[in-house]
Amino acid sequence: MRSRFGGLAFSAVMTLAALFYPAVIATLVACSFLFPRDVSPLLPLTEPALRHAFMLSIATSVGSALLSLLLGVPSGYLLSRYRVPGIRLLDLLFYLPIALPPLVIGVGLLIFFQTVPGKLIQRYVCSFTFSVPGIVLAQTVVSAAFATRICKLAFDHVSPKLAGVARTLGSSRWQAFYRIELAEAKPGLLEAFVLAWTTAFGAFGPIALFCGITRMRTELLSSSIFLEFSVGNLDRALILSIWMAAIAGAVLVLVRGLGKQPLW
Amino acid sequence: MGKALRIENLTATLGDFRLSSVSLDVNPGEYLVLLGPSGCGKTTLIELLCGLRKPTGGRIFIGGIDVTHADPADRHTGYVPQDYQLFPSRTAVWNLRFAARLSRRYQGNTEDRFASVVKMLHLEPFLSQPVQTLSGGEKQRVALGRALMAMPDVLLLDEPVSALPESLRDRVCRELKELQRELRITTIHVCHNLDEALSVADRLALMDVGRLVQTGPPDQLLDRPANRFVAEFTHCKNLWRVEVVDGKVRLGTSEIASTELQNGRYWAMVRPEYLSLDSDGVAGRVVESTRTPYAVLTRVDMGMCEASIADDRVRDTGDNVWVAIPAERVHLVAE
Repeated sequence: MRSRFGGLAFSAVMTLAALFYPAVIATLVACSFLFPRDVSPLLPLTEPALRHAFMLSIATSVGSALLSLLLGVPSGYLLSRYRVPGIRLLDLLFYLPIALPPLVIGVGLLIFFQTVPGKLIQRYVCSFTFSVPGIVLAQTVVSAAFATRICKLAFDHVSPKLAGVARTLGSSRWQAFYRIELAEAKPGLLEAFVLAWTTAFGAFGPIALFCGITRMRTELLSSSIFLEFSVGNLDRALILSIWMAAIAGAVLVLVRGLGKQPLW
Repeated sequence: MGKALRIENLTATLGDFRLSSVSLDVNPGEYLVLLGPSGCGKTTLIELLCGLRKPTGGRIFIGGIDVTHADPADRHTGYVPQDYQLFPSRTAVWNLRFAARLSRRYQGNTEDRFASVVKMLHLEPFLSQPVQTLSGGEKQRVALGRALMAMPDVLLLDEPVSALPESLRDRVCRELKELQRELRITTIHVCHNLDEALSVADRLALMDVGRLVQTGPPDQLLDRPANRFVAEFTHCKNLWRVEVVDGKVRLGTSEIASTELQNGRYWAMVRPEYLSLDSDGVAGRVVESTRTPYAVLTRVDMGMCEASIADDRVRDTGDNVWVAIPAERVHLVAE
């Protein structure tokens, strides 16, 4: 009797605890929808400045998520596979952007481009400060750390022996990596892409600091929300927030579908 | 006749473990079992052979070609790891065809090879299944088939039956041996179980803590163990400390004499199946008589030492018996 009651109590406590956070999120979303407003829900599509911010948000976040994956795959692989001196320090370095307030990354980037190498890059390679490439750079710096972490976990779940067997079967090191390890880690890598994208899509602080918020140039949806809110347009800020939440949700569903993971 | 595989003074270091100067020849078409307790370096040696580890010294020749520093893809070894390591998110057929797609050895039709491997290993019923849904025995066959698809010169099987249920192991070992005979493929089979080794081996190579201790046909390791470790590993049971004086040693009523024997202390080793309980021999008292799968093992206290005798009768504890020790079966090794 006691064990049965204990089992029920355990399940009830765990279920309540697990449902608390989703309930908070659902409440926030519901409040956003229920808040009285008298602006068009198609705001980001109808107003040119907001449409630009909307398109720029999508383009830069996808670009930086791809870049994050490009950096995260080799870094995650290195952290997962190699046991060499200094690897722990490297692991710690990859954690730093996650632990730091995002604003610090913006400050760091701004300072770097004031140095001689930074100025040379700006002059001869590409102008980053207060420009679109700068947005991608700032988003990538923030999201690559998350992508690397998830990529590492994905590779941790793929036995290194698989690549070894593939090599004895005639494949080169690259073929074994591409056809076996990368293919086996695919669900995790998709997860890394999604996390990188959501981080980049929602990033605000470092971009505002490093690239500014210039209408029709460097304004993103996240910055639009801040701008609208700062001038008291709460209902417009809310519409933009709902759009951001809807886009993030749609991407999540799409990528889960690609990864053939059941949604529920 | 050239050797299918030649290992010369191979050394390797893996953390605290050291493989020290292993030399071994394997003949073409031979089934060699690399035997030894866990952690003795068998898997390390196999991984060195297929190129997944780098040696610190020595050389490896496969088919007369020095492959010591060759890429694993260029060694033409068929490696079946201990836990099979099938590509988990793929089907059995994908696993099989993987080698065929990459192998540089295919001159003719890969389909012929595929069809013959599928037929030989009876893989047809589960070809299209994801490998994660296969049973242990099916996985083992797919892993073997995958290795054979690459047309290897040497087949390297690392504990190929240890992941299978006890009841399947005998049958799978028999199938492995039949397949090897049919294909006449040089095979190295790693295991830690003597029964399994004896059921398939043309020759045994026994390892202990990174060294090759004795290599030879099963009879040689069983009847003439090189040292105490080999004797104990091969369940010799009767190991007695004896003293050779004037080229002679006395064991009960038997006497072993040889001009080659130098005076000193020796281990006398004799397998339990060569001893018998007769009316003629060393007097003793039965300590215990227990059944084993193949014989009754009787321990007899002979005063100075104990003897184990394998025959077909259970004796009562305390019975007076006489242990006959045939001198020609006793193997002496200097201490």
